[in-house]
Amino acid sequence: MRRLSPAVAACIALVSRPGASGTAVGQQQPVPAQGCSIETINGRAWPDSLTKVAADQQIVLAGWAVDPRAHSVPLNLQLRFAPDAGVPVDVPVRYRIIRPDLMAMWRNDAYLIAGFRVTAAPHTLTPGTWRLSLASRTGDTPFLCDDKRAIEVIPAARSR
Amino acid sequence: MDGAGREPLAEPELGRVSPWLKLVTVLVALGATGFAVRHAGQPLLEAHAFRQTQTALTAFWMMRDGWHLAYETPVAGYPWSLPFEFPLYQAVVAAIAKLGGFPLDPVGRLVSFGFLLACAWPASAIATRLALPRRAVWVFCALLWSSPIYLFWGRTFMIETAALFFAVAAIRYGLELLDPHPPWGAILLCSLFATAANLQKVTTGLPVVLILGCLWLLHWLRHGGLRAPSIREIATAVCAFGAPILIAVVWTRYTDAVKAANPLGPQLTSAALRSWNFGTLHQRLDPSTYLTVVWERMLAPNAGGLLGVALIAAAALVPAPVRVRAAIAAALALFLLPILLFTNLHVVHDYYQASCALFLIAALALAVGVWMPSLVRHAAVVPALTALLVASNVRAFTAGYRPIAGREFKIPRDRPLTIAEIVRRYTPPGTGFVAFGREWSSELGYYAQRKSFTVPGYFKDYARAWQEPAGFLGDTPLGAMVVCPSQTGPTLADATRRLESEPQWILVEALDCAVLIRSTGS
Repeated sequence: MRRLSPAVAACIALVSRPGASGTAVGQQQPVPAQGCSIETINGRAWPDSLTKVAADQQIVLAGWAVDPRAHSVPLNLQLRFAPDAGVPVDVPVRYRIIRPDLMAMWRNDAYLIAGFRVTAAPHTLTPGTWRLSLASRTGDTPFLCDDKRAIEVIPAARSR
Repeated sequence: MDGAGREPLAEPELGRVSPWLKLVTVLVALGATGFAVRHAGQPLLEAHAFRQTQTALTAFWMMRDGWHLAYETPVAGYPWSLPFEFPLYQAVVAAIAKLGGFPLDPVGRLVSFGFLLACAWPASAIATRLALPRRAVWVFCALLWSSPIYLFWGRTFMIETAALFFAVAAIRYGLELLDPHPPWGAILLCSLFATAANLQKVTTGLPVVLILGCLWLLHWLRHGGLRAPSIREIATAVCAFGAPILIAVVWTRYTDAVKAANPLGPQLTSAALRSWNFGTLHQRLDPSTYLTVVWERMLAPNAGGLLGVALIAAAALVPAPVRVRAAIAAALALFLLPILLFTNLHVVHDYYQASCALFLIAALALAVGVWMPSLVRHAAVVPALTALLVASNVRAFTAGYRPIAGREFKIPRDRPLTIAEIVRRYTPPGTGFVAFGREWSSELGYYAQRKSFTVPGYFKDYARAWQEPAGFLGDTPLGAMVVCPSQTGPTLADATRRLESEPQWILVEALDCAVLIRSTGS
């Protein structure tokens, strides 16, 4: 399988999902090309405005993640909820979906299982704004991809 | 078929072959070869993927781990050995692929096709032995290599053409045994090729050995009467016909014993498959069996339909040299006996007729190349009739097998390739997997390049295979589980429940299947 050069891959990624950037965990090095997108929340496309989520509601997030440096899909992926200040909360991403569109776009068979779906329970999060990112630390290619998504967790009573 | 009556037919130019006939045959050979080469890289999924990948799986692990008598076909759990046929063809394919560094799929297909082409050698020698005109061989080759059944199955990753080649080679030397004092070389070579045919595929070799033995016995009775046979005659019969059958029986017993150690093996022994192999009396008496197997799959597409039937019948019934009629009768017996012996296999599998269609084609070639010129003296009759029959074959192939041979299989549209790719990429080499909903097909195991227990719904310990999958893989670590839709379960919901309860798994949902991949941790 022919692979795109990092520069071309980066261009394609920027066209497909502008506005996100990735960094390697620990080393804080930029990922050469954008490697993730959280596309939907509860089955709907992600709105432009800050998404409010009631603490007593489950949320289902779906999207994709690839590691362009390793030309693979990070298997041990975590969805990271990071508060403005405090300790991030990681939720393991263990449900994967095949994404033939990404495989074709990047011309890489390894990206076949790049899709994911994850269910999270915001009641474990304190009210406030949480930035979302995807992280993995597999082998020699630790991976962190910030998709510039965020949710605002609101107390359950306010949402009713 | 009479060894004493080998005088040539009453024809002035026995060896003369029309250049037009040669042209037709050469064009057919080129066309068939071009077709085989063009589609050699097709994944082994276009038809009877179960059997093609089973053969390929054996060759793959033979390349990896070397040759063993109890060779591995690692699709039915530890200890991985599940032998059926003796793996001659697989060994040839594995050796070529390994030595040349070639991909296995095209090598397997082209070796199979090579055996088909090689059938010309014993066929030519048989014609010489029977003092038949050379044109009969050219007609035979043109019809053989243009027949849909061989154009298609001759280029699959199957043992059929290898077994057929060994069987026809056995006939070539078996005919020499009809001489009053056959040379030991012919006896040994007949025995060798008959043994190879029986070991490679007993359903192909055994009918040939039985008919050769009967021919030899009839010949002996006709010329020796009821006198006591000599030691040499007894040795000839035992060596040429008895030994191949005995060795096949010993091999079958051995494979049954090896299979017994395998989780699924006891359900796949020769005893367990007896009715599956031989079929029922009802099947043999049912006209639909012959309508389907003999007419629809063989005579109509591969032998010119009614024209072919008329030619063969006329050659066999209208006064003609006794040897020609005897040869046609023997060819028809070789054609029909496998169907009568292994009726269910021939009904269920449309590729099984590759074991005997060659003999129908031989009968037709005798009618066209030997009988017809004795009736119509015009030089163009044989090339014209051959071209007509080839055109009939090509037409049948175009309407039947041709679209199947051209099918494309790609990730992510094709389920076996896609699932196998996920397993291959995301499980470490050296791990195995357990799969449900794919019978015990080797498609996933072969393309994933992993050993597996692919559990059929009828496995006696089916529930335990889901509950304790690692227990069926021996010391091979469990790397993945595959769940595809089936009536026996498990379901995608079962796989999701396992995902929720056992944190080591990652679930990939793909084309109605679930692939549980064991996470290596961070």
